[in-house]
Amino acid sequence: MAETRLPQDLALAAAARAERARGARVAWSLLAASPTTLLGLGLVLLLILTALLAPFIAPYPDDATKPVLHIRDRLKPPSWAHPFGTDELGKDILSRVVFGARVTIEIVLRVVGLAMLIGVPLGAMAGFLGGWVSTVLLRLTDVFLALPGLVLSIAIVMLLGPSLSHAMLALALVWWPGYARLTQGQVLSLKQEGFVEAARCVGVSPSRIIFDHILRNAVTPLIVKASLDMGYAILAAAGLGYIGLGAQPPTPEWGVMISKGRNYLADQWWYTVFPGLAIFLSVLGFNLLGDGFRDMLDPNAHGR
Amino acid sequence: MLRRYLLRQLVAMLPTLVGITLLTFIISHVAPADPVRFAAGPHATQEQVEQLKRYFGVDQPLHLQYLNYLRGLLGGDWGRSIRSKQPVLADLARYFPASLELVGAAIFLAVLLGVPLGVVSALRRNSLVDNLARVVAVAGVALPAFWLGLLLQLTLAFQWQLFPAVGRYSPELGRPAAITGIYTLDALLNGNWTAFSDTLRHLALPAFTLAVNPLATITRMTRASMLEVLSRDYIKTARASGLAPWTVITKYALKNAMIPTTTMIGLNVGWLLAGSFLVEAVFSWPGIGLYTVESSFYSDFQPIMGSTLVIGLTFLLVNLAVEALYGLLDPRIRYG
Repeated sequence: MAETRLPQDLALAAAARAERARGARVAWSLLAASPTTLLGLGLVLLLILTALLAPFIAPYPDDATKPVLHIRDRLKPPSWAHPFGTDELGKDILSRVVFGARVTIEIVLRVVGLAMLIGVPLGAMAGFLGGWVSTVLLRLTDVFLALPGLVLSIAIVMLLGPSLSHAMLALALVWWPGYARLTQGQVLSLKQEGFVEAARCVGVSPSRIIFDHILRNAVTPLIVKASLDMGYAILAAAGLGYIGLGAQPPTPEWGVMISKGRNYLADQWWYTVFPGLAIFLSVLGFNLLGDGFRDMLDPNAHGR
Repeated sequence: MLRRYLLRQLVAMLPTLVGITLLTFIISHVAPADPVRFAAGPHATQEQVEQLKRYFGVDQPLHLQYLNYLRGLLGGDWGRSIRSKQPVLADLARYFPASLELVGAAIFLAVLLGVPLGVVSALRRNSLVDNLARVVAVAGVALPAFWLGLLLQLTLAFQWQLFPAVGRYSPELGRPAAITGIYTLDALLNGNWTAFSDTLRHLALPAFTLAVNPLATITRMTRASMLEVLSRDYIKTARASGLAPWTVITKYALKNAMIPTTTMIGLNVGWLLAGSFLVEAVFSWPGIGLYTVESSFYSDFQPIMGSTLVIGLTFLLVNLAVEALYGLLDPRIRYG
């Protein structure tokens, strides 16, 4: 009934808007005060834009998307026509690196998204219910956390067969315990907070307490973890691609490109160097951004 | 007291260990890629396949298979590699020392460089060294180790020929007589200096490649905890009572700052064992990483499960050792 709003309501809504705008300004000023966070944000935006605009940026889009062969352009060093050189099939490496950004974005979203989709509800459930549910979850996550992720994901990929989607699934299956633990810890500590107690006293329904009061406040540390994990997801997926257990050629995935380039390392350095640089800059972007988020949310971390 | 504490921790590890075996069992026994068929070859008759199934024990119900599997693990039967036809435990014993050597050297390098770098950057904040440390810390965790390894091969091995690109020893010199399987150590124990410098030169590039990531985290951790400790009152007291700055830093500050760093080092051992998979593949370093990766191309599950177990076990034991170290660093810590 928006038409019959009382003046106080309008004033409240305006105040809330102003508060949000102030929040955004504060966030921006914190961001602008940290050059490394800005650099991280810039690198991540660059990655996203490259992925979105790949067909327009890549000089030879067909080289990344179609099975083509340019015999006369095999393994050419960087030049104006091919700034990153060409590979053993005469494909333009710049175009393939540009399209690799799409694969990378897909990896980042799928791995971290799926890990959160599994971990957050389980962690929240264990945090609320406590008792044997949380004991079982703790034991289960102990097992996963006792094994370095890459080892377990290699085992899972082999079980399923090497492919990019299996590699992403395996990484998510290995990473969800981190999110479960984090969410559980958050829920446990938030459950004790005064404002949750107060909400319960005035008769707010349990489901609203869970979603509006607890999970909303647990989101920030999850965002920090997710942005850092995105960098690690790129590294892990590229690593799996490199040893042949991730994306398969001719997918323009950076790890696979490096693994192919390795055969020509001594004489055709550009084949290996440029895809690796792309991995490095993307991971750097997510790490700097994640560190920046953490510093913003945790005032104690300043100056460390 | 410490012994009792460690014993209790060992017992507390048991559920996790059982969990790991359950996980590896599930992965290896619900595998759609049929290793028995692979071992039998494409022209095997049904009868031969059945015979092989009995040989590998995969014709029984799952829970019995798991119990057999556990009994086997405890009795030293870790299965058989279908590819090498060797018992997995024997294979692991052959490959594990190489990984241990690599990871040990990497941790050694990371601590040797990272702790002083962290201390100096905490003492001289925003100096050149501090900024350098920051770059190392940020870049170190973002660099794909396998790519860094390839770059080092390209420059230091192929172009300038300072270090060998692959392997653990020069074939013309031969490997040092095996004692521990850690070749640099074996060469030392044999008093064979030529072999020692040869194996050390082979170790240099892979160890440095693997060290970059822990170097970054150890530097950061040391810097942060040094800053924390340096602001404490007892440091001010020590300084005010006229102790030499060097004594204050090493005996008072660093010793206390090393507790979080030690935890970091312990965690790193586990991560490095996994990280070594890629580095071993780049440098053809015959450790369990290379063993596992190569087994994976043949759908050879037992070796992979064996490596997973060994790595999980090492990880748990190292962290136990780290907890025991805390007491040495901080006498207030009691193991109750």
